[in-house]
Amino acid sequence: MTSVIFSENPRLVPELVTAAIEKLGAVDVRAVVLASSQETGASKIASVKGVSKIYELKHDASNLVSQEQVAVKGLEIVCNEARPSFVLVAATRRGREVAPRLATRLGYACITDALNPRLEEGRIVAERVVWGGNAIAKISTKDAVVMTIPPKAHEPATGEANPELRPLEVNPGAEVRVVGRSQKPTGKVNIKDADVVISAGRGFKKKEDLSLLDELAQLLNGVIGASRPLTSDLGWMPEERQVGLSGVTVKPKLYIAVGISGQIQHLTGMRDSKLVVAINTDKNAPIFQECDYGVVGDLYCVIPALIRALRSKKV
Amino acid sequence: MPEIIVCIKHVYDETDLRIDRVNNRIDFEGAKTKISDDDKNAIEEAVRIKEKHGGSVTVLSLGGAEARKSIKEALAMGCDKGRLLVDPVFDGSDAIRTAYVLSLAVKKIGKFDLVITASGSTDIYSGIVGPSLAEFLKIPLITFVTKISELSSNKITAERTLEEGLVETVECDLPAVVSISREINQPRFPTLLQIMSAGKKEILEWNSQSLGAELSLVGKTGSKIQVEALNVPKSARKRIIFEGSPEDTASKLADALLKEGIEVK
Repeated sequence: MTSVIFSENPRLVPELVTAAIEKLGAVDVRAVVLASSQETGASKIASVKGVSKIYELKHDASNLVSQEQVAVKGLEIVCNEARPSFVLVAATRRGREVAPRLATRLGYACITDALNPRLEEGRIVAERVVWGGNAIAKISTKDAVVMTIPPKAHEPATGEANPELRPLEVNPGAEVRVVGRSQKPTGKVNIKDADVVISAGRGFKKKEDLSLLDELAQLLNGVIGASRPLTSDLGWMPEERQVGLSGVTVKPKLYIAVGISGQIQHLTGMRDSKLVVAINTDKNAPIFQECDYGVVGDLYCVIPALIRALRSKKV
Repeated sequence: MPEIIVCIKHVYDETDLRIDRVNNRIDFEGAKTKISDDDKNAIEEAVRIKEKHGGSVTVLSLGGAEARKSIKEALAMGCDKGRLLVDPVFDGSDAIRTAYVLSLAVKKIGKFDLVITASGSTDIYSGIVGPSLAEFLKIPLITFVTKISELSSNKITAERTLEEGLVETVECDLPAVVSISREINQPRFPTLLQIMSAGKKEILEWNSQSLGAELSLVGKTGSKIQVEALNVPKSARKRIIFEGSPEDTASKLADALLKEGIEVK
């Protein structure tokens, strides 16, 4: 089986290689990367064991061409040549645009956020979290398919390789023109890679009270995240800190949900955490079904008490 | 003046489903239904554009007769016309097939400047419809829009927010498809008067015939993916719950964390 894999972020390519070979039995894996990628040496990063060819998409010198357009056009060309059984795209936001467009253009099936992709009796099968995390749908297709694969779901493939390098000039036209890029100040906090994430929810009565968590975060060497109401609705925290289906998926060693009821939308973003702790006043809150240790109580009393307890007990 | 089309989805309220963990069953019977959450932001953005630039907003939904309820809500929020795409042959359409049917309706409307969709629906959240619709219509697409900065008679400029705070400002010619992120606005609550007057606004029903849909391309027949099963996620958590005074519970929790090997600075 031939497969084509793509990410605008070449560091995610090795994970896609693992999914393609080990989960889906691909024998010929062709990686597509953007030459314009901000990463230098995208092809080099993507050159891991198992990759047979690397297509480096080049377009006119301007940096301000829509990466999605270049990717869709380039992938269309590569797929028409390679006739893959499946295409894997890393589920970044750009990837989420690229995959359905490519699938529609090629007449392929499309499965986004595919978990545990595999082969079953000649069909490609994957799981998807649906109904806000209340259910896991088992999806299958007998057709060629474009799937998006969540980052960090597969171990990155390693090992030296010398894939054939094919530069590919792509001129997608300039339907969408990028007129500027800027970086919103996100601070240095990256909740995605943190070992300890402490998330705040509606149990906090006002924005200033979030500082209650600062000392706990310091003690545990953690970072502070939030549920969707605190980011999208109230704007107390930047969107990059939102844990959940529509935010970031985290898999820390320790996840502490403080004043979070555990709406499915939130649970979906932290379900793979190693150890989950919940603090909530409502004994019946769904978060208590999804935690290893829970404290039923008022966070305004429990958090200071926990800080004191950790200080006095630490070795 | 811009003619805007908003695509919405009528869904089960995911918080109202009965989950039977023991028998691995999800019961949809009698569950509440609603407009998919993020679609409200799409409607809100369309109505704001109309309030600023004039024009009109048509709301489109593919669904059963019950989707009328969501269309009415959109009309109450300020949309002008509703179009319900309803036909038994549409049942079982996957997201790409849904985008195909929507594209036929957009073409039938004919004159439009902007199609606005959410980035995903609260039930399935596949995020396919907006991008796929742009492909069927062969017009430009801007995804994950968090701000529409400028709209002229032939051009849109918008900000899209990607990972790690990267904001990209992009422009394209109209007509275009724009999929919005939820942070773009705060949807309004319609007043009672608006809800009542929405009843007078026009909702037309279009079926496969009036849309000229290719029957081999809709419904289960046209769909390339199958949902084989719906399973309740399994949780393997310890669920050790402490109740009592803050000091006592916090102390037990601290012990548990230390025992689990959590490092304290």
